[in-house]
Amino acid sequence: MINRFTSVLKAKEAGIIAWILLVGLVSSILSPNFLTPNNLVNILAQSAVVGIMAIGMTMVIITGGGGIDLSAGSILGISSVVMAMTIIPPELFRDTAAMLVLPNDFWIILKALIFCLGTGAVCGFLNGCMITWAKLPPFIATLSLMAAARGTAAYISAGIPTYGMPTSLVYVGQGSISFIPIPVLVMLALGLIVHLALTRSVFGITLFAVGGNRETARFSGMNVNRLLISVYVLSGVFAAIAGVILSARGNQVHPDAGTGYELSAIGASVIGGTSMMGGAGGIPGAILGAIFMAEVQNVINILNIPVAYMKPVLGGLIVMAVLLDQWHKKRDTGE
Amino acid sequence: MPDSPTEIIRLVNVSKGLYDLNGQTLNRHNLVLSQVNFSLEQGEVHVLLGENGAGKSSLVKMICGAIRPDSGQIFINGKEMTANDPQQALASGVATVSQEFSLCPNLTVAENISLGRTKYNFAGFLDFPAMRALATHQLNRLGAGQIDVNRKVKHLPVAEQQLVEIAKALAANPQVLILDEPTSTLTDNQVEILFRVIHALKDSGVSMIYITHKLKEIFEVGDRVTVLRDGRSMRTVAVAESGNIDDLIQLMIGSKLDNLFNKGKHQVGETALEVLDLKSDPASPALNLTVKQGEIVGVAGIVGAGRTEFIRRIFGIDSYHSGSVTVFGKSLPKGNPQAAIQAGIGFIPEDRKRQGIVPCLAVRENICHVTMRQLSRLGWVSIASRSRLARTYVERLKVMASSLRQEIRYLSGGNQQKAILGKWLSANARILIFDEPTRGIDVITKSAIYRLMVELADRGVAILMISSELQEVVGMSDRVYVMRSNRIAKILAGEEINGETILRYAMGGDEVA
Repeated sequence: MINRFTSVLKAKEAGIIAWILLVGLVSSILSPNFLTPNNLVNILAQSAVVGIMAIGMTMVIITGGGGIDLSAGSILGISSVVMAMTIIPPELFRDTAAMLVLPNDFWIILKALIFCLGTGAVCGFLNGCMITWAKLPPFIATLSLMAAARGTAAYISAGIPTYGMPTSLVYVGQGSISFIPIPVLVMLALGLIVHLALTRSVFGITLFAVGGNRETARFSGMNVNRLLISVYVLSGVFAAIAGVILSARGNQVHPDAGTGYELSAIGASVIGGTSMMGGAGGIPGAILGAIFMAEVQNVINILNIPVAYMKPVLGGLIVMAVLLDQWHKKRDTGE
Repeated sequence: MPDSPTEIIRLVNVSKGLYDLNGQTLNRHNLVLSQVNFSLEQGEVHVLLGENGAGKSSLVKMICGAIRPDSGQIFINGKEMTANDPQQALASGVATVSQEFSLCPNLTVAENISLGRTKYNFAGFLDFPAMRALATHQLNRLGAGQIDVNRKVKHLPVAEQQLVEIAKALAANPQVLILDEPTSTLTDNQVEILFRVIHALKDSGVSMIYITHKLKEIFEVGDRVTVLRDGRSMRTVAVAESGNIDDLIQLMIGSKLDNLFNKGKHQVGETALEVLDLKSDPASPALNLTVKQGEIVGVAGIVGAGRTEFIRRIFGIDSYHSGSVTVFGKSLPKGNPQAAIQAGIGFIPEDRKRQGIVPCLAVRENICHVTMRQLSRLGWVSIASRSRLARTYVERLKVMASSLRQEIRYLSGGNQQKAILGKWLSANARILIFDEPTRGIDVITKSAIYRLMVELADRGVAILMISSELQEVVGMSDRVYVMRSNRIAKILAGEEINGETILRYAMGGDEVA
């Protein structure tokens, strides 16, 4: 029992858990509205979209060599627009409330989901090709796709947001099973699968090897390019899934949806202990990082702190969390 | 030599312990240079001769003021050098042409050559015409007037970079010029011109220290030669009187004890690896090599002879122009390490940190990197099966690690090397390529690795070993391929394998007659 307790303290996620608890403790002293079941569930629900993106982003950052996916927010945008346009018949494309009149046709919704995730995969594949075959730095490659995907999303939707979605999709965004919101369940399920894949699959071992030392991976006969492409494809798919959740939660599809979310996802990964140098990191940390960021936003709302303070506070917290994490690691390794 | 030689540089009983990048001594007992005496007279070309790691570079660094001796004295022009101050060496007219170029790749040829002697015009701006004139003049001296002084250095081929490096040193009008293997990248014609320049400089009273691995050059430019071995100055002789090349080689090697090795007679089986007419590009020489099962084949040669490049092509890390690599009768595709690994080749690279291990991962994962596919079911591979596999090899090879989960970077070099070997053994590699198998490894682990190599050969593994350590090559190999300037100079077997013969072919002693 004591052993298990100390092993929790030593886990690499210990730092981020401590942060979540610390902010929670201070907030529950400052406001009676923080520590209520409703609010806690709300925080989790708020973290789902960024959390799902952070799962993909974490894998991208682990690949090292400057691996980053700046296009994730734009991929979220374009794939949710594609989803909406698959559901809506062409004659209603420009009708902002079009989706309200849509029936819950299983096959149409399935087709829309496949197109949506497919769009994410194609975008990720383009990123992967630019990075492996054209040898562009990931920052530049994904920056260009960030602009291209966002522009395309605006073009095909004529910049018009669409309100209302089939009720079964809305349920995915707003419903709960017992008391846990479905978006949270989606995040946890995806997180669990990817966590197992990273620790217990050929893909995961290859990912960490490539991230830790690309040359050695090549000398060990690993196909580095294939790995990089699949990781960027996965990041695109996770952004698309986040797009489904975001659209379903808000009951609307907006071509500007997800703008800047890639930065929140990067923040969540880094707060959760993923190293920007590559080769180190994990999914539990990334999800906890997303929860931490949702918690901070929630606290700022509850305490009626002006929203203008929110981003500076978040920025400061990211720096502090990462500094503390570095200090923690230094102490552990005795360097 | 001039009639009345005056001493420019004198080193008296200089010693230096193992030092770090900044020249700080780390260990006073592990001597890089020990009681070295050396002198350079005006107008002479003094050749430094010695194996890799004999202390030539350290000696030169000391004269440049980059590192300072732990004991002993250095005199330049009769004045003792007190601090390790490169400025003092520069001020007394010491210029260096080093192997690692000191050129700024993003500056033009003219800018590089005038670096440190920058000229300004009346308005205080850089005087480009004067800089170009200086550069052109120096390059013309080297017969390299064809090099465009306005080109950026990074766009020049290596041989031309070497010429620029030399021109830059000449532009300083040095009193003492240190040339560290200046000809390794030059063509015969360029070398000839360089030698003419060296003779001209000598006539004008410049003294030169000339480091080379090419024995032929000693006789073409050298006046005196000093042989270094294991950080000691063995002997200084006038080239005219040295006469026999074998004496010099003998001095370089000495008589080393090799009780580290217990080479047995291996049972040699069928041909495991066969390389036929491999050419890296159409103009390069064709390379042939065979390794049989149960055989240990050494590849010897001086640094830059093209050994590692050759081996990388065999393993598929780099591609090649023509030729074939065949493993147990099956031909391998070019530039595909995965195919090489599937055919049963394992590669233990020279640069352990950058190519052998993934430093931030556990010993367990590092051992499993090649075998994980065989361990996996539908792409999933359990932690337990990985631990089992890793434990087998950690125990069998006696890898000293606190646990299987310890990050491999905290292991000693020798234990890292054992773990890398474990990685290939777990994959049942039938051909193992070792590139500098014991570089930076302590002597006890070294002998353990030698024992393992012999044991593997006895069990029918074909072993190809590149090594710069002569005694390793002599002690381990059944056959030796000696490489010189990207071609195979000689294949030695049995009784022919000894340090003298290997060095003679590696350094071109056969050309001197």
